[in-house]
Amino acid sequence: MVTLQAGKQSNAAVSVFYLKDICDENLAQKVIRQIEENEIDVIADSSYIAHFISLKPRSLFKRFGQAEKPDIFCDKLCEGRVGIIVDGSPIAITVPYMLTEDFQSADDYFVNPYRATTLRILRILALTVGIILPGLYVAAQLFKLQLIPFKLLLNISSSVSGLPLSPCIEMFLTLFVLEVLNEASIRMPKYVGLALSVVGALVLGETAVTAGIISTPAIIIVAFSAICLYVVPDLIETTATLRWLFLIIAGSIGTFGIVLFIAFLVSYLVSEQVYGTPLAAPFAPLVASDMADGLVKANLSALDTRPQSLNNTNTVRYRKRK
Amino acid sequence: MTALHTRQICFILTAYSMAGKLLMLPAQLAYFAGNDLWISALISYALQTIAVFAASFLCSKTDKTVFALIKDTFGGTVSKIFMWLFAIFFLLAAFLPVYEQKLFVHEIFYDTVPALIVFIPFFFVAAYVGGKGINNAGRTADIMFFLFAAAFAVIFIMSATEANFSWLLPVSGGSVKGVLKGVVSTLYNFTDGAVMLMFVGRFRYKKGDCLKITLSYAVGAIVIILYLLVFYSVFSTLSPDEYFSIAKSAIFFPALSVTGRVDLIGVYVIEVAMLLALIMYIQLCVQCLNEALSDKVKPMYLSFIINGILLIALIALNDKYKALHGVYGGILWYVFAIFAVLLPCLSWILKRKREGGE
Repeated sequence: MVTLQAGKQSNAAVSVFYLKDICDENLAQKVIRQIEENEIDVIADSSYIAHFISLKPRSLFKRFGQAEKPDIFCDKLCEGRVGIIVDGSPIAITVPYMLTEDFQSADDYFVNPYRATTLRILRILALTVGIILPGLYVAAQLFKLQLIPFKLLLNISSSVSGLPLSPCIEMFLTLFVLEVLNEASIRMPKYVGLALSVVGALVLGETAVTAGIISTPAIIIVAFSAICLYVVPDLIETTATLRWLFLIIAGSIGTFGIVLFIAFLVSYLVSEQVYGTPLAAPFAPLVASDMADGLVKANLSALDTRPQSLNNTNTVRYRKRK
Repeated sequence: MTALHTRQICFILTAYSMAGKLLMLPAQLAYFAGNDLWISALISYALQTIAVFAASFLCSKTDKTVFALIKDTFGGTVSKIFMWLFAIFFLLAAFLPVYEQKLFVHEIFYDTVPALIVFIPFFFVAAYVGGKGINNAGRTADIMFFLFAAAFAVIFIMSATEANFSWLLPVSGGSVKGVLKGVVSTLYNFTDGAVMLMFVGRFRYKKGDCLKITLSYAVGAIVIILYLLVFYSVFSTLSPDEYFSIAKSAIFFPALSVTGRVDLIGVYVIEVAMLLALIMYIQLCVQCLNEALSDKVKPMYLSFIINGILLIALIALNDKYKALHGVYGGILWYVFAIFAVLLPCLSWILKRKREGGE
């Protein structure tokens, strides 16, 4: 453990943790150097440190892992990561970071591996649906009606007939209302929470549909999308932004825009690295041994090696005594 | 410099190679060869398999890239000339497929044909990704191979359920001239030998990799030939008019009348693979140009220039697909034969010395 003082005025204690016989010493030194190189008045939270150690802080995708529970933090250290704790902040930071980390949950290691695998696949599907569905709905309405089954199309047509807004503007407004409600629910005092929930549900939901401003399918899609994105709460900042981008692209270019943006995202994610670890590992580059704890959650006995993507110095994690 | 892994090359030569042959190729082969379209494809694939084998076997004898080998054998000037020639070749190899992609997008992704401007964002994405290098193509293949395989399997099964294989009979009933004309006219789709030649020296060769790579390519070839059989069995004599068959062959699946065009979801996944396969040619062009210019210009700038050229050509030659195809199939076919078949097979004459003094 290395303890630093960061923040010229706040003098916050920042502790860097790593396991010497597992973690690459160069990685730890690089992280310490990144923290020491930055001078700032106040370190109010670990996210400030995360900004310093993110080699591309302006990227939409985060480049650090987060842990609020000690068991997760310890587990990440044992995999060969460097952990950072900031005095006064409840969230610890870990690097290197892989996107797949946020799809893993602590519960996955306590439950049946089949259940854990199912849940991980569900998380990925839910996230994909949550990001793409609003845009796909708009693109289908505007450019490719064939995507929607005929009977459903008739229902949707009866819902949207007479609406003054185009599907794109309608979805945009509904998402905007959702984001405002989301933000308000975080900031509002508890005692007005109930009243505001009624306003949100009845006035903005039910009444807006009855008044013919927005349609029921739009509300259903936005609500479902919001629920899907919160399946992976650590990625909400990224996925909520991506949802907006997909909506704008779908509204202007249509389904081809969605496909093109997906191709762009795939290319972008596979080429990004965090301290030498590819962001899209273990999927790209495909590391077969790491897949036992990637999309699939294998038995504990199958997780006998540490993730090879992390360039750790001691790869054996589990061995059965003879 | 080792940028790729053998597995990634296998994925590229399977998935990306297949993705590039699903648009116009089936209809064009059906136009020339009729129900013998699979024989035309078999001939083209046989030539390409030999070329891929030759290029991958060369990897077992050397760690150098093909341009380094040319430099060792013929000198630096000849090597530079070949770099420029390959850059132009890959630009040519990318252009007509980009044009076909535009037509595909306009017909399949929209209910009414949109303006050309709808396709222009492709060039911005291609410009960004094109400057990322071959490593990027390998890593995207790691992801797209499985998604493409799943989507293609779904489309294939949905198409095969409505196929009437008796339309393929009699075998070899058509003219030999038609079959050969089909081979020549569609040769621009078969550039995998040249692609493999660019991979020489860019991955760490291990014993048995040559066989793995060639077999992977052969598996992709067999799958495409099977798809051609199914395609003709679905559309029979209407096949020459069924361009973009991948988006149309599953349309007769009974469940679609209830569920809607869910096959389009599979088509969209395949489209992602198609776009990345197209961009790979731009990446290869950038790579050749970068080496020709001795790394003096940033790859991203080169990528923007190349995509700018493609965009200008696309705008200038809008509504001239038939003439272009005539040029590619009637005049330029020998260029593709030289670069994609002959040169990989002749690469053996280059001096080979594995680093380490072997």
